[in-house]
Amino acid sequence: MSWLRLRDCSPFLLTVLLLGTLTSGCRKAEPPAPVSASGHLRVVSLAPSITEIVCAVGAGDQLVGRSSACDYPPEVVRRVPVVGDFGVPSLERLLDVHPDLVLYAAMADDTFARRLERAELRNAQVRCTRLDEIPTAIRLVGILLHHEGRAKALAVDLERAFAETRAKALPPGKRPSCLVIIWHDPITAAGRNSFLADLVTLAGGKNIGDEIDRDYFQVSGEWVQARDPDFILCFVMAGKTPVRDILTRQPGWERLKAVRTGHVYADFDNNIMLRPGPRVLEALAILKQSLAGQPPAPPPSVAAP
Amino acid sequence: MSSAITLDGVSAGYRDRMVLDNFSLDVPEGTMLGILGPNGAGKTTLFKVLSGLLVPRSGSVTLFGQPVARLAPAERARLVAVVPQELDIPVAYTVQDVVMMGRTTSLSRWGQPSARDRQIVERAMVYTDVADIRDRPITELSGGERQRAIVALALAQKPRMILMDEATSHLDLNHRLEIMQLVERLNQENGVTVLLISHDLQLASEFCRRLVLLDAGRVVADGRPAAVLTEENLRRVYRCAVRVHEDAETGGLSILPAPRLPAARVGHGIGIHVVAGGGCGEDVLRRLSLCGYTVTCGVLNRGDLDAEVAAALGIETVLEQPFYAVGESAREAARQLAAKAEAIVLTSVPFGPGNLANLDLLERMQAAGKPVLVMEGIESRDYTPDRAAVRRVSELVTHGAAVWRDLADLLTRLPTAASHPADLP
Amino acid sequence: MKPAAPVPRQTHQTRMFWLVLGLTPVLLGLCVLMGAAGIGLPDWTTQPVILRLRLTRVLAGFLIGAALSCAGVVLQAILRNPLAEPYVLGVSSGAGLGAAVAILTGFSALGAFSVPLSSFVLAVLTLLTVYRLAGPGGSRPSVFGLILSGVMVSSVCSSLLMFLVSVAPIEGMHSVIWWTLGNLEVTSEALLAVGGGLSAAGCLAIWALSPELNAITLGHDMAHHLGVRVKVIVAVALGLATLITAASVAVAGLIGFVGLLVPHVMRTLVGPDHRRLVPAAALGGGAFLAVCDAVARTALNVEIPVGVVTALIGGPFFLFLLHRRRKAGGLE
Repeated sequence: MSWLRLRDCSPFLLTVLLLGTLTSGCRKAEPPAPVSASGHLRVVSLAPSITEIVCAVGAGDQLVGRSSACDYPPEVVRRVPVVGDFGVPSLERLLDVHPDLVLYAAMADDTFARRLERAELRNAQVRCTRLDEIPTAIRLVGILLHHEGRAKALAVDLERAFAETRAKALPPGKRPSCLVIIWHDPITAAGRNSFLADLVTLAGGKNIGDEIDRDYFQVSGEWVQARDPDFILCFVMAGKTPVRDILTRQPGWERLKAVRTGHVYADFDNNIMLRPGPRVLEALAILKQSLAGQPPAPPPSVAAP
Repeated sequence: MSSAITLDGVSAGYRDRMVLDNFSLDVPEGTMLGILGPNGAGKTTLFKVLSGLLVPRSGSVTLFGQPVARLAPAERARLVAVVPQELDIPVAYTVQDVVMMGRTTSLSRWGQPSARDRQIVERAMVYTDVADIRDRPITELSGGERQRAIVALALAQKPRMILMDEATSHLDLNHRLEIMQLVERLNQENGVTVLLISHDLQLASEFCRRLVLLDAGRVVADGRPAAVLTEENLRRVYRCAVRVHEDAETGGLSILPAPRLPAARVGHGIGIHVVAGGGCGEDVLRRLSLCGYTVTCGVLNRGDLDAEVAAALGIETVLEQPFYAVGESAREAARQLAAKAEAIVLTSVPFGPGNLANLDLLERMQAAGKPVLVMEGIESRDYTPDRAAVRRVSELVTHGAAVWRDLADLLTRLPTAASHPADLP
Repeated sequence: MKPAAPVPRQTHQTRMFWLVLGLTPVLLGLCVLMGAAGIGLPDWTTQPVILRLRLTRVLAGFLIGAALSCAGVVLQAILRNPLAEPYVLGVSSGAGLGAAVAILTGFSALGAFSVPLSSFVLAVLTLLTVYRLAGPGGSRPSVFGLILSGVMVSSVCSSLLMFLVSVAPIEGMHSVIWWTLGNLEVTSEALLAVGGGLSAAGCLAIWALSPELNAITLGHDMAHHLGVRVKVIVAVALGLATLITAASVAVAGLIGFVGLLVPHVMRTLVGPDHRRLVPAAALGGGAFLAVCDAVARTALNVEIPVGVVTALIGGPFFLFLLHRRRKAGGLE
């Protein structure tokens, strides 16, 4: 038998190597293993709404890491270290706090989930981008962190509040029309697939952006003029920029109904308004107030953690 | 007659390189002047200085009595027009568009060209015979047509002087003559001063009554064609041998490179023995073979470059072992070979103790009364400890050996069939 | 029976010119009919604001399209390169960088003029840098030198822009990105007046330079021989092109392809003589951009950045032109 030359072997070897690499990456994600009731899971939350939910179900002391955008409740914020920015977590810092479970929000692609898998961190995605997803998210977090009871109670409360408000809602024709803006340059409005649209609808308003099947989209001055809303609600996270002044000074806006009647509101606490979480009822109340003609009071400046 | 151009002590060049050096020239109006010289002599630089493209470092340039530096561009354009060798026009302007650009300085900005502008353009196009192709895009024209259009462009400026920078190089003969005749007419009928750079020496000598020969930024000769285009001047400036012939009938000059090859194969098998080595004999061996001589060679070391050339040419050679000094048997063989030759030629081979013996062959030939031709400059090629080569070659010369400078020279001194009528078949 | 003589080129080109001149107001009028409030002319008694907004937008499209096209014509003449456009010399990248700096440092809060001013200043600085790099020591920069240094400086500006975008707070980034895609929704009429006025003046000045631009396309040396002060004209022309490009970028962000495409098309229609080409390019470019913007705001029920539409139309068209040029042997 003649010796096989290495050259002849190499295609075969390459194939074996290649297959080996592929299969090794295909380990199935293990579901989080149940831990005994006495053990406390170390939890990292990578989104502000998730942090609030974790605290609301009573597992606040289990938090060992948070994103830089998580700013409520303040005592949690003081105690818990930051492991990355919202949307850009640092895997190193994550590993440093030795979490047992990493909770993250829905993202455009799942590369982050795969990175967590490779680092052998147990993780779970908590979808919480729409109004009706909040109770479900609370229940899920409760299950994951073994605080089912509290979670269920909270979820049920919310669902009941939603149902009641919906039952008492005015028919669409009688509702005040609203333009919901999240950015001023260019003017970006909320479409029907956004949380703000859900909120405004629940609060009794009619979002003029509902005709567009998107979450957020750019609008022209003409579009706004053609619809002439009763209210213009600005949820612009722009620091000190005088958004209301900028908007009302646009050409033609002085003739809009909302501008003439002074119903352009911009002083919302966007940390509450833009965050689908346990404080949604608070957001609802503020909105109802606004739609009744009472502008919100500017939020007190919170000392940065 | 007033002066068209006066250059006085002009030094001009690029960055650190001075191309024109203390250059002076005076050209009266109405002259047709040819500017000749090898590449790098400064002809184009001269034109750049005259047209204001290049500002001289020192010296003064005066155009029609006014210093070039002080002329406004529009004024200057009305005095001087330039016809370059070629113009790369990427845009599909029609011929008429292009010629109209000659009127740039007088065109109105907004409206259509004035009647006068149109008339001038028309006349220029008719003069250069491009009127019937006026609507064709210039990118579609042949070389000759394009160049005529460019001359028309220059004419449309209605200049008092035209600078033509090798403007006819690309043209075929009839177009070249056409343009030259056109320019000549301009010069004679309208008194337009013409300066012409050309590599076509004959053309320049035929059309220009005055020629200026430049070399390395200086004027070498200036005057009538026959006075400027001498063999001496041309050989010096172009660094190659030329022959100038004046036609008795027309007075025209014809300039040809000196014959590299004799007209006839004059060798007729006459035997010439060549003493060479190290590549110095390559040209001689080749040329003599081509001329029909029966060439022999020796003594060479095996592997020597000349030995390989000789082998390739089928030349009978006496060879010594590589790196060895010429030994007795080689010497004897060479003596016998050389004895069969009519003359012996010494090339520029350097001499050392190893090949000094080759000089014996020359001495024997001289003793036999046959012509010995040694190349000049033995002093620089003697590497023997006691300058024996110099001594022996000087002896040879004293006793009648001829000294040759270059191949052309050598060929004239070799015995030819004409000098040996007895050998003719 | 003699066959009909082909229409001489000059006459054909003149006819095309009048066609462009006549067609432009028609197209602009059509654009006024299109908008987010629906197709059709808004009634000026009941919806005066919408009409005014549309007219403003169409006017902005026209002025900016005209400016970008004229800038393209000038650059193609000076650089003698049909691929030259306002962005080749890095003017757009410099302007974009200036805008980003203004937005992200909060300078933009000082008023509506702050961003345009910042982008304008940087556009001019960019051009000066490019010019200096291309021809150091006061010598006349060569065509290749200008293009090369334009590309280099453009890359540097883009990199700086990317850096700023990466470290910026998310909110600022959104504005900058929208800016880089081009947007004719002008929020300040005063800004449009200034920017548009500068652009119009610049275009007129460029038209006035037509004889010199014609001469320069023959080559800088030849133009010199024809009596043109080449250095001065090149500096002035480039300066004008930068001025109107920067004014356009300041008003409407980065809109590409107009300065590349329109001069080409116009040159084939009305010929290369700048006395006809410049106004044709201005009118044609203005109409083109106005139409693109009309499409951008009505094709989908949301706003598309107009730069996207010009790229979608201009890109393939340009590839087609390139293909045809290569087939024809590289000559126009």
